[in-house]
Amino acid sequence: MLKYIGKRLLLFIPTIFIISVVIFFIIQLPPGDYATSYAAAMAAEGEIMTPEQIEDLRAQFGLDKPWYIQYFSWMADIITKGDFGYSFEYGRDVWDVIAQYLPLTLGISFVILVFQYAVSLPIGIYCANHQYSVGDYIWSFIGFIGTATPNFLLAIIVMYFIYVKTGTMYLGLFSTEMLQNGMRPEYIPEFLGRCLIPILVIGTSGTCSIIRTVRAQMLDEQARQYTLTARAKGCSEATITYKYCLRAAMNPVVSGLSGALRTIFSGSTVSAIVMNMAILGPVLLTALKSQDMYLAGTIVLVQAILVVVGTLLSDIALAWLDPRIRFSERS
Amino acid sequence: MVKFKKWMSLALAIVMCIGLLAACGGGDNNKTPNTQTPDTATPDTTPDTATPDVTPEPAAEGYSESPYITNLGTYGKVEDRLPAADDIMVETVNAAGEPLAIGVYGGELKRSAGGGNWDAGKPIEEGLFRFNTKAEIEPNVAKSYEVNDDATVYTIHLREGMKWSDGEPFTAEDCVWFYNVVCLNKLDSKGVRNCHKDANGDPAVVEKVDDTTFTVTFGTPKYDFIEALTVDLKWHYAPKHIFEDICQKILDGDEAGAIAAGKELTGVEFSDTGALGKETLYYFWNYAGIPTLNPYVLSTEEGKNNVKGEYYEFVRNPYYWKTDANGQQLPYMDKIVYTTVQNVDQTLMLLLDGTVDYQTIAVQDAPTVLDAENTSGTKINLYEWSGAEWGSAAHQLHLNLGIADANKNALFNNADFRQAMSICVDRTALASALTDGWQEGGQAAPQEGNLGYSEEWSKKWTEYDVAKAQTLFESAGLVKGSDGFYDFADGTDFELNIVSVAELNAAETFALLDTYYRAAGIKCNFRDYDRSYIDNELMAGSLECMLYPVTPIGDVSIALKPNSMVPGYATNVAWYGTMKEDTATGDLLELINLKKELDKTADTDARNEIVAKMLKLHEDNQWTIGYVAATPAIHAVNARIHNFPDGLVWSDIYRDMGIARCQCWFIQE
Repeated sequence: MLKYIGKRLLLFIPTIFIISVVIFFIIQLPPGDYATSYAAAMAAEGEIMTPEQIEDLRAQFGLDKPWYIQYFSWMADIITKGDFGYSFEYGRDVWDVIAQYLPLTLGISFVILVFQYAVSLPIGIYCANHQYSVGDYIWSFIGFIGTATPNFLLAIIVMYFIYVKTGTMYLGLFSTEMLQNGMRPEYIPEFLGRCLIPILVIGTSGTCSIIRTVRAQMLDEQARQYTLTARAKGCSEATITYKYCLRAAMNPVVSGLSGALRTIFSGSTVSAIVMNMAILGPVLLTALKSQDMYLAGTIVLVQAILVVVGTLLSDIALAWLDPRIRFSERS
Repeated sequence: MVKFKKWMSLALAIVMCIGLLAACGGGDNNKTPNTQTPDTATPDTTPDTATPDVTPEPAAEGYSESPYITNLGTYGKVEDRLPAADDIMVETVNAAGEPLAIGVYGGELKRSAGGGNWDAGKPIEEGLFRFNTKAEIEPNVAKSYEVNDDATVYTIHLREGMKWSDGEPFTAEDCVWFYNVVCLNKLDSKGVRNCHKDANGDPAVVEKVDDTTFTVTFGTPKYDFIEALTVDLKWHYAPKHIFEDICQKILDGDEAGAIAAGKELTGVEFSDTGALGKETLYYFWNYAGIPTLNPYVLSTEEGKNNVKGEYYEFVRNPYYWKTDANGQQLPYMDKIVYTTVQNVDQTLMLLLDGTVDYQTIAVQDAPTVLDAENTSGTKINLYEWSGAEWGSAAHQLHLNLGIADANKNALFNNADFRQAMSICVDRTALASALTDGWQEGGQAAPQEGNLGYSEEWSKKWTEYDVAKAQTLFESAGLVKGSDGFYDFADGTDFELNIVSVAELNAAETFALLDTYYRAAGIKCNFRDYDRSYIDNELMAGSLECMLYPVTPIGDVSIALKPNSMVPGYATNVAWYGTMKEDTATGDLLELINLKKELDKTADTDARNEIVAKMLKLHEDNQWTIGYVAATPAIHAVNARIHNFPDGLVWSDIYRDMGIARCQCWFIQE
């Protein structure tokens, strides 16, 4: 197992290297660069830049050099100094920008992830145990709503009804007072209310696939010989469900966790914009649009690393969860 | 087992229900929703002009200050913070010359925006001089100026005893040092502006006379220096006591030292001295710790001092140098607070529930805004200003007058062709379909309130006459082919390749225009591109024809800001803006020459005559074709805000919202 993990870790280096080159290449692929996008943004605000000023800006940020030179200098700084570069848009170090948004991103994404599994697993199990019952249809229907309705649309609908009902627009996780005065005990009920909207809207989007996966896997496991044997031996239904079937049914669910790390890091993008949540998803989108290449590059690079790490972790978790994988590895 | 299943089913149902209920709850339940059907007929955009219930107090003995400052207890007497009594600037009228109500102190203006810069800067900017809404110069930071007979030496007088927001004296040294060190060495990334260059392009000489006086000397006459200064540079100062050391380090090549000093000042570590200079000397209001002369300065408090953060606030300048007629130190409101939104459209939503006090809105959103009183109890007044653009930015056709293709170049530069493209479209139907009846058809021409406005021009070439258009196409040299579409006289196909910026949704406009163009015999196609592509191609002059220009033509005055109206003045603007003197011909060249002549002319009447000629050239040629009348700027302002002016002009020259002079606004619920 250790040898396997070591081998996978060694493979990280070329994988990440190739990903980083591709990322950098793609980010600078659209015509123009940050200087032109900046000039256009300033023009929209009434500040007209001369071609000389645009050239100065380009030289200042090193955008006048070929992309591969920019890439190697970025990489060299990452490796030698741990410096991921400078965000043109924010006028700050890339990590300062990421650090500004990371706590909220991690917090909200983690809660959403927990919500998804906390809701989907019981429903999946219930639906499998009550196949084709009224409850199965009702819960499956609710699960499908989340997946079938685009998150951002659901967000708009929910916000609209709340506004019409209460006269307050629940936009963002924090009210102006919370941002102004810091989090006080009296704000907590409102904050929790505000959190519930994104949790429900984004969370329900992932529930359906988990519900259907668990339901299908459970049904599959329940039809197997070992389940019949257990039942014949007089094991309780709870033991059969939770000790045997569920454990086997969890394999695809656990492997799905490999992408969860990446999702936790950046969070949902479109829904976050609609619900005005200051998390990394919208930051990445803005960085890509304005060709703020080091910021966009760093976020995508970290996402890529997390996908690779997540895949390894889910493989390890699978091996731990499923003895068959361990045995096949040994053999 | 049955019990277990029941429990589980119940638990799941409860989880979902609690979630939904909690999401719907938590609001202010004391607000009584009014179920009255909103009046969706034409909204009354006339603001509630009932005079706020503020009884003007008799002029106080001496001066008074906001309790906010008094309660801080650290600033001493207000008299000691204001300029000398004769040099205090007293705000009695708004930019339109209407008297201002005497306000009350307190409260904060709640705004929403993304990321500082001009949106936060223009409303609080204080230039040496400023414009009123008739484009007339008024003193501001500077008390007055004199100019010698040949307009080569300007003497500018400042206000005695004026102070920076950190309490340090503001003197002529700050103005002279800014020019001689910052501008001449290009430390703020902009360098010497056009306003400081004489007819030969040589920079002016700026010298200190005494603490409140400095001179600006040009090699050749500079008749429009004060106007150009107010447009190009505005402030002409920087706090020398703060920046002298940093700038010296930059000039000495001590990059690390300069960046460290910049970090100590602002808390931000800039990537290089270029960024340091540009951000702290040009976009100075965006950084906490940099003293200004503005009514509000960025808070230095952690969590409130980052304009790229989720929340930031500008707090009142204790040393602000203006008062009202009763001697109350301005501003009235204690803070301007900003909550950042991910998408600017969300500001409208926040306006509706009272989270935001002020926002410009699209005219079609007016009924929704006025209905907010019924839904959320938020009363919002609407104020209509003219815009400065010559046509609706959304519905203008820009032909590339410098296009390389000889056939198309000749065609686009032929006025008959442009007239035909203009009159082959039924503007009434087009405007009705595109704006849901909110705007009328019109031509690209100066709006009311701007220099050059005439009703005749705004209606020029707006009749719908396909037969006449076809005659004009033919007189412009096009020949109708067997397919029913016009070709060039040499037999080559003519097809108009129209592009636009994807995010602006021009496809809808094109779909309608295409119907009219084709009916008249003009074949065309359309494609949306990403903005960065358009920017690059626009600058390279390689695009052919465009809907939705990046920056539309027009401004308050062709003399004050010719960027989009005279060839060669800037990039990123109208087609002839990218054209230089060596490529322009005919009337475009004449336009350039008139601008040069204007720069050399002193006499006011003669200058007005030249400006009239320049505008006439535009009117005669109609280089840009507008289909829908220019969009007015609609300001939605929470009714608790008073002294907001109506009927002004929204223009960069006037600093957009800046001309509304927020230091004079006050809050009364």
